[in-house]
Amino acid sequence: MRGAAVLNVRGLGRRYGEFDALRGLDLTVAAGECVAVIGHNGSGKTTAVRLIAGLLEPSSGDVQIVARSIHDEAEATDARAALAAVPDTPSLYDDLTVREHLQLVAIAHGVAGEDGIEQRITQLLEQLGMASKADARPGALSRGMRQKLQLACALVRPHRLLMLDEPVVGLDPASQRTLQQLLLEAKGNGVAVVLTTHQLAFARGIADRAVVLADGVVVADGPYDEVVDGPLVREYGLL
Amino acid sequence: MSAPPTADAVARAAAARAFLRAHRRRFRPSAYELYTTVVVGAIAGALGHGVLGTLVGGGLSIHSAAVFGPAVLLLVLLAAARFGSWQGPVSLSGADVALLLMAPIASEELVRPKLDHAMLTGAAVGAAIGVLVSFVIAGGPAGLGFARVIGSVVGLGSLALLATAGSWLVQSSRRAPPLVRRASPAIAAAALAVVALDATVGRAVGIWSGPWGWALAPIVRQHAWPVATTALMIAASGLTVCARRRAGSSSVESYLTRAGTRAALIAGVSLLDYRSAALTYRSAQAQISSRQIAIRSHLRPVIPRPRQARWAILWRDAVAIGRNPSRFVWAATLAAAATLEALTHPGRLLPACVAATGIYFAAALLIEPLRADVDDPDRSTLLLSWAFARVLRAHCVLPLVTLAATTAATIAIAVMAGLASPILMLVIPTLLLPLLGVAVFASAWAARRGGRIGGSLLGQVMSTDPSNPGSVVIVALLLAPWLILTVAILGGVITLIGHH
Repeated sequence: MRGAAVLNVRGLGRRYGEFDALRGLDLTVAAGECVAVIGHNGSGKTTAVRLIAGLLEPSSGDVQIVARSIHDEAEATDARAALAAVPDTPSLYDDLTVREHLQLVAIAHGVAGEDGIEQRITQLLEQLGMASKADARPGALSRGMRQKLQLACALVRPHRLLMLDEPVVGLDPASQRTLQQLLLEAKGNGVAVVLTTHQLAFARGIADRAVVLADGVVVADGPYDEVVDGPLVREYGLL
Repeated sequence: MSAPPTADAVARAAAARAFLRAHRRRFRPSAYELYTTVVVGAIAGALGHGVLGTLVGGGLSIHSAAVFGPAVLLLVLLAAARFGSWQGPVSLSGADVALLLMAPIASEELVRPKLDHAMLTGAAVGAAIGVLVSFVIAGGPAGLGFARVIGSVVGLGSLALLATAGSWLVQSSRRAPPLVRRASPAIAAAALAVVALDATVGRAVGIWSGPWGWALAPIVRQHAWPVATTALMIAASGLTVCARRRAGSSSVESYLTRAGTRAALIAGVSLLDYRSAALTYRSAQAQISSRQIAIRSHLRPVIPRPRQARWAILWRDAVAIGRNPSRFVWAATLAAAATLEALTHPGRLLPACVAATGIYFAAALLIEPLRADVDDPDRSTLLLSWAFARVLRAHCVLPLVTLAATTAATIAIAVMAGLASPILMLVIPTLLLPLLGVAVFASAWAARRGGRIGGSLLGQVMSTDPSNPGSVVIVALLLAPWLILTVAILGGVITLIGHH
C-alpha cells in the first residue's frame, strides 16, 4: 500500500568541525514504503537516521515528517508524534520493568487511557517472545532482549514513520524473522519505514528501495533488488 | 525564546513524570549501610575538623579571605560556567532522551523540576559553606555579630544560586560554551590580578569588583555589606528567573551528547582509568565547540622543522603548544599562582604543599604530548627508534623551561612589588631548576602508565580494608605516589627556604 509522502528530506547535511559527515541528502518516503539505507561504517548512515529523528541538529537542510519540520520547535511536537525511532544502542531505565517501559511510552504519547492498550502491550510482548520477561528489569535482559524492548517501545504507540538503526544487531535468527514480519505488518498498515543495515539479506523482501551512502553522499538510490544486485554495491564492497 | 507548549504536551509530560515518580525504585539503605554511613561520616567529620583547624592555624583568616576570597570565588563561578559548557546542572539520561524527549511532550516540564532541584541544592550548599566560614574564620555571632553571620550565609547561598543558574544558562545556550572556553584564561588571569591588587592597594578592590566579592563583604567586615548582599540577592534572583524561563531551550542533541559523556566518564572513574575519563572530557569539549575554538590554520605559529632527529620531540612539543595554546596558558597561570602562594606565606608547610601541588599539576598539563605517545607507544618508537626512557626525558625539556621562566618571572615581579624578600632572587639561579626538575620528572613518570591503573594495583586498592585508619594513606600512596613524592620534597624545601 503506497500513499502520500510521510518523510520528506531536503538538502540534509551535518558537519563536525571541518568534517562533512553527511552532505545534501534528499529522501522522500511514502506511506507503506520501506527504504533501506546501506553503506560502510562511517558512511553517514547513523548520522542520517539521527538527523531525521531529530536527535542531531542539521548544519543544512530540513526534515519534514507528515509535513511538519522536526527541527522547528513550533512543529516538532507534531512530527515526533508521528515518528517511532529505534536507536542502534538500547537506552532504557535500569529501575523500570519491561512492562513499565511500555506503559511509560504509552503515557508520554497520550494513549495510556485508550481502550485495549494493556492488551496491545501484552500482545507485543508475546510477539517478540518477551512475555515471560514482562516483570524483569533491563539489567536482567540480554543485549538482544534489550534491543527487542526498545523495538516494542517504538511499536506500542501510534506512528506513521518507523526508523530503525541497525535493528538486526544482537538478534537471533528467530527474532530477525519476527522483526521482518512486524515490519511487513507495519508497511501493510501504511507506515513508512526507514532502516539502516549491513545485512542486505535481512532487508530483501522488506525494503522497496535502497539508498547507498558513501563518505556522507548518496551514490545510489533505486529499487532494492536493482541496487543491491547491481555493480555499484560490489564496487563498494558492501556484499 | 521557543514557542509555548500546548496544553496536551504539558499534560503528557506531567503524567510521564508522575508515572516515573511512582514506579522508579527509590534507594532504601539497609541497616548495615546506615551503620557504615554513620561511621564513615564520623571519621570524615573528625578529619574535616582537623583539616579546618590546620587551615585556620596555617593562615586562613579574615585577612586571607579578603585578599584571596574574591579571586577564589571568581574561579568557582568560572568553574560553574565551564561545567555548564559540557555538562551543567540539568542532566537527562539516555533513556530520558530516547523515551521521553522523543515523545510529543513539553520538554521544559521535564527540565524545570530538575533545574529547580539543582538551584535549591546549590543555594543550600552555599549557605552551609557560609555558616562554616562565618563560624570557623570569623568566630560566629560572637566575633562577627548575628546580622553579619546571616549576611554571609545569605551572601554565599545567593552566590551559589547565581553560579548554578549561570551554569544552566551556559548549558542551554548554543553560543555560550565556546565563549566561556575562550574567555577562561582571561578570567583566571583577572582572578590573579584581583589578588595582586588586593595585596598591594588594599582589600576594597576585590570585595567591590563583582558578585564574587559581594558575597564576602559581611565576613570581612565591610561597613556597607548590606548593600553588597542586597545587590547579590538581586543579581541571583534575576539570573534564576532567566534560567527558569529558558528551561525548554536546550536541544535534544545537547542532552544526548552530555548523557553519553557522563556515562563514559563514570565508567572511566569507576575503573580508576583517569586517562580515559580525561579523553572523554576533552572529546566533549571538542564536540561542543570544535568549529569555534579551532585556531585558523593561517594563524597557527609556524615552527621550523628540525634537521636533526634529537630535536624532534622538542619540536613536536612546541608544535603541540602552538596548536593548543590554552594548555600552555593554564599551566603558566597555575605555576604563577602556586609561586605566589608560596611567596606570600613564607615558612608555612600547608601553603608550601599547596604550591607544590600546583607546580606538579602545571607540569602535568605541559607533559600531555608524552601521554599522547603513551596512548600509542608504536608512534614514537616507529618514528624515532628510541628507547622509551629517552623519549620521556626529551619530553621533559620544554615543560621544565616553561615552568622555570614562569616561576622566575613571578618571583622577580613579587620582589619588585614588595610581596617577597629580595634575597629570594637567589633561588632563581640555584634551587629553581632542581626543584622544578623534581616536579616535571615526577609528573612524567606518573604519565608513563598513561593515567591508567593496572589490574593488580586496582585489585590491591579495592582489597584495602576501609575500616583501617591507615587505608587512606595506603590508597593515596598506591594511586598517586609521584604527586605525594613531589609534594613531600618541594613542600619541605619551600618551607625551609621560607624559614631562612
